[in-house]
Amino acid sequence: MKLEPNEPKLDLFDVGRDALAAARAAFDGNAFFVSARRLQPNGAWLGPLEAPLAMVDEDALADLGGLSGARKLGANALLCNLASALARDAVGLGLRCLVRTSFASGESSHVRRARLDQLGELVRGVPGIDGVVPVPVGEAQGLDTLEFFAACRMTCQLLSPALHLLVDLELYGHKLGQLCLSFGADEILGSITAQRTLRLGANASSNALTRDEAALLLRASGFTPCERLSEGKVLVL
Amino acid sequence: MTFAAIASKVRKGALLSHADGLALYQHPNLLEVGALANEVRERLHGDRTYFNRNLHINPTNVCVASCKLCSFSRRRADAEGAFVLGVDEVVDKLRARLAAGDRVTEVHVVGGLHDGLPFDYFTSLLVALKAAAPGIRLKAFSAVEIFFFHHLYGMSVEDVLRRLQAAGLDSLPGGGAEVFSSRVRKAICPNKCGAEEWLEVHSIAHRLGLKSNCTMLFGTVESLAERVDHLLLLRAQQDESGGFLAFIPLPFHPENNALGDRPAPTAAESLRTIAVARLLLHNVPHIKAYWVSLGLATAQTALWFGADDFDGTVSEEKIYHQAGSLSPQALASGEIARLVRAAGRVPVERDTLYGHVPTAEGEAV
Repeated sequence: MKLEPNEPKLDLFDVGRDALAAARAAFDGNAFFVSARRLQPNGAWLGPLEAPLAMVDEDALADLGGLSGARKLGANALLCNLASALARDAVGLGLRCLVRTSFASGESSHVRRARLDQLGELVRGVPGIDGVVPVPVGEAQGLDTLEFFAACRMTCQLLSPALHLLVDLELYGHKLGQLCLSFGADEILGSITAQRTLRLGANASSNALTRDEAALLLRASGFTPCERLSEGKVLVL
Repeated sequence: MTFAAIASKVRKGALLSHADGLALYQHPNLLEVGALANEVRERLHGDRTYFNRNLHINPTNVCVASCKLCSFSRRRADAEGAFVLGVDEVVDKLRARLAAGDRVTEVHVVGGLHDGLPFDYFTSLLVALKAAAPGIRLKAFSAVEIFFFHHLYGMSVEDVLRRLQAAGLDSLPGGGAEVFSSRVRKAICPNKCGAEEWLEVHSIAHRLGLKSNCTMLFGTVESLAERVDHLLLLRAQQDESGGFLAFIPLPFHPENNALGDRPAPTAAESLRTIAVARLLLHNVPHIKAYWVSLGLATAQTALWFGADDFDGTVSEEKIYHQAGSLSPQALASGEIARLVRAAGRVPVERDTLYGHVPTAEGEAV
C-alpha cells in the first residue's frame, strides 16, 4: 500500500495485535473452516460435491438466471460486490451473504480507505451480511495482504463484531492464508476434503486440504477450530 | 520465565537460556515473539535485506544414506531418475548463466553421498568451475558430504577440506544438520553423520579460514525442546569457532518421501522458528528466509520476524521441489529486489561473505 505524504508508516505488529485481539474477542477464541464449492457461469460446480458452502459469485448470476436460478442449482451463499444490488435479496432468501473486497499491491491508502468505507455502507444498509472476503487484484504480496486483512478486521469490528473475515485458500494458498489468521481473519474457506489430495502432475499445486490439516492451521494460530457443516451447524473440534 | 522477562533479557543483550527458548516457542501470541525478534533484526541490520546471485548445482542424486526425509535421492546409480553430472555438464550450467548476462557471484554445490565416484571428481569440479569464472565463490559440500568423503577416501576431515580448499572451495553450505538430537537422527536419517561430526566438520572448516552456514530442518519428529537444544549447540559452536555467517531454518516438506504422512510445518510455525532463532542465536549475524522452502509470501513476511536475508536467485533448485515445494525454480535478482521492497525493506545485493555488491537492483549499504 502506498501511503499518502506525511502519513505515518504502519507498524505491522501493532495492527496485527489489534486485529488478532478483535477477532479472538468477536468469536471467543474460535475460528472456522468451511469446505466450499463454487458455481460456474455454465452451471457446473467446482470443488468438493459434499462441500457445505455452495457459493455463487454475483458476477456469474446473469448467466445462471439470477439468484433464483442459482438457488435451483444448489447455491446457498452469495459472494457479492461492494456495490451489490442483490445482497439484500440474498439475505432475504436465507443465503449466506459474503462481500468481496478487493485490494491491489501498491494502491494508495486513500483508495483503500474509500473501499472500506464502501464496505461499511453496504453492511450498514443490509443487516444480515455475514462476512467479508478480501480478494487480491494480481499477485498477493505477503505484508500488504496481512495489513489489508488487519484493516478489514478493524472495519468489521466497528460495523458489527459478528462479521466474519474469511480467507479464501484458493487465492492465498495455505501459508499466507494461515498467516492471515494472525491478522484478523477468523475463517478459512477452500476445498476441504476427507482424504488427502494427491499433489502430482496437473494437481501439483492443489490447495485442497484435509479436515485435519484445516484444523491444524487454525489450532497452530491459537484458535479453537470449528468446522461449518451443512444447514448452519458448527462442529467444535 | 515470563515473556516480559525474556524481552528484558533480549534488550539488555543477555543470553537466553533453554527455558527461554522453549517459552518463546510456547508463547500463545506469535506476533509478540515476532516483534521481539524484529527488534533484534532491526538493531543488527536496520531495514537492509541481503540477497545474492547464485546458482544451485546438484552433481548427483545417488546417495547411500537413504534418509526418510529426502525426496531427492536415489539409492542406486542404475535406479530410475538417478543421475551423475559430468564435470563439463556442471560447468556448462554456469557458463549458460554467465552467457545470458547474469553476474552470478556464487555457485552452491550439494549432492548425494555417492560411493562410486573418485575424490578427483569433486576437486576437478571445483577447479573447472573456478576456471570458468575465476572471481566466483564456491560454496560447496555440506558437512555430511565432507564427513562421507573422510570415510570413503580414508582421509582426515582436515585433509579433505584442505584438498577441496586448494581446488577452489571458498565456504561450506549449512545443510545436513537436520536436528542434532540422536533420537531424531535415528528416526529420520540414521545413516548420516551425527551431531558431533557435523559440528566438528564446521569447526575444522572455520579453523582453516572457511566460513559456513548452519541449518535446522524442523517439522519431522522432533520436540520443541530438541529444536532449542539444536539452536543452543549451534550457538555454542559459534562461540568457539565463530565461522557461521547465517542460520537457515528449513521447514520439512512431506511430498515424495517416507515421512509423507506427516503434515508440513505451518507458515506460523516457520515464522516462529525464524523468530526464536533470531533471539537465541545472538552470535550468528544473519538469519535467512530461504524463499525456496518457505514460499515467497512467507519469506517476505519473515523479513519482519527476524530474517534479514532472502537467499538468492538460486536457479535449478531440485531438492525442495522434489519434496513438493511450490515456489518458483528461480527468481531474477530484480524480482527479489521487488519482493523485498514490497515488504517494506531495503534490498542489498551481497556476495558469499556478505560483502556489498553494487548493482542496479540492490541499494547502497
